[in-house]
Amino acid sequence: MTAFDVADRCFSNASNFTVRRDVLSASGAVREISRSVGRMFAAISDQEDEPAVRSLRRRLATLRMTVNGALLPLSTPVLQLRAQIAAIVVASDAFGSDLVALSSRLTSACDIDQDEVPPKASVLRDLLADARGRVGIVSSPLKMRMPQIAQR
Amino acid sequence: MTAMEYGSLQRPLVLRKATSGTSKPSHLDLLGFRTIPTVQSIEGLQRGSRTPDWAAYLTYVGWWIAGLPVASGTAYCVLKVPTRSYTAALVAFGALLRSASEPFGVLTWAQVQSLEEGTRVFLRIADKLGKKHTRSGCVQRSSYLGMVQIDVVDPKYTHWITKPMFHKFEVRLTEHETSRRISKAGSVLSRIIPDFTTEWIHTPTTCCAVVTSQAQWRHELPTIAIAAGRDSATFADFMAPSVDDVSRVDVRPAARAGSVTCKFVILDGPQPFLSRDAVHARRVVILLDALEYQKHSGDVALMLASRDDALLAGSLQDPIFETAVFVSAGP
Repeated sequence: MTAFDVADRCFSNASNFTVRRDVLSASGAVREISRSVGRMFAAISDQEDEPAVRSLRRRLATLRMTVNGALLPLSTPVLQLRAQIAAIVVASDAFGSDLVALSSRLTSACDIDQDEVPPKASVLRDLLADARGRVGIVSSPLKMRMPQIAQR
Repeated sequence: MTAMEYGSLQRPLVLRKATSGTSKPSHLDLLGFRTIPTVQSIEGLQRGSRTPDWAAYLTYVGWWIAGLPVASGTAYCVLKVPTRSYTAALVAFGALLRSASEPFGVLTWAQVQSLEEGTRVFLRIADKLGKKHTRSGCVQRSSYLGMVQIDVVDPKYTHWITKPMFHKFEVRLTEHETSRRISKAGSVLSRIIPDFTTEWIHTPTTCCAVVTSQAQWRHELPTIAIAAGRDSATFADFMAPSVDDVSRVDVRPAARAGSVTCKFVILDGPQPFLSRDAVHARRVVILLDALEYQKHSGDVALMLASRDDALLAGSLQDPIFETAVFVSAGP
């Protein structure tokens, strides 16, 4: 594809661009896991940058992206949600009782509403059903406010 | 320039909506060309692709603005585009088409009569032996009706030209060029523009100035091509300097925007946009992509607020672009 073709694609996209805004409400399990992960990040924020801390942060970030970005029910084995939480519970043992308590809330959150299809999946299904061209979903994987998306 | 004066301009026509089964009309269809050219990448021409609507529109904008009569102040055209790639080159090409379609070569009596006082002209006059010589001169206001006064500098002499004796002179705006060299660009322009004279190719004329990234400009020019009939040429062929090494399009970085002397300037991007006060031109096209426009929308709004004409709303409408054309107060 030449640079001119890329420019042509940009102009075509601009002329065909439509915005459909769906405000998604996360399930109870997703909200509880996200909240607990946020608190755990806060609890280890003053820790030294050691390998164990970095490892726990990475596991927490992966868990949060898994639950926020999933297009499949959380009980789907491929997401390995329980295995991820179990690893976090084990890793939390080294950081005191607060973190252990928070990690146990993750375990209990994992037991509720797990068979619910994420709302993002149903939006995607609707879009694909009506789509004539290509469809893309623009969303934040970290539940952050993105100014550009908000303005569009 | 007042809104009334603008009203007397040749307004761009509104394109008819395409109906199914017919090819959609392009903005290039409005320009009265002999052959509608195809503007595409070189690969696109080989594939037989048609001119994209956006490329036709940008070429049209350049052609239209270049012909906009602006007696005082500066006419601005702000274009918000999805990407700035190739946009400056296409607008410049539109200005180049306008320049090539203006009278060149020997002027007619009506054209000579309409020249403004002080216009520099070249007279070709045959001596007693029939050999033609070129003299540089200046048009002066004649107090006699139906007579044109041209003061020749060397040798100092005043010609009083009337219609019956006009055939003895060749009056030109540019020096006579004897070269019969036909370039690729000349062949394409001959197919596109009615009454095109190949002399234009050899004449040192700068159509417009582009304030842009020179690296990007050099990268883009050889990759776009124009085809008309069986002839084709790249933008680089069109914008190559004339025989006198005068640039067809004057390309400068933003840091040197103040040294531009051309009357039609294209400011490509935010840095050239910020140097707009240093540019003294009659016509200025500003190109900003969506994010750049968002960042500088306050500045654009201030420019719009200071305009002294009626905004040409709806004059250049396109579903892809957001276009504002206005005239600001100026010297």
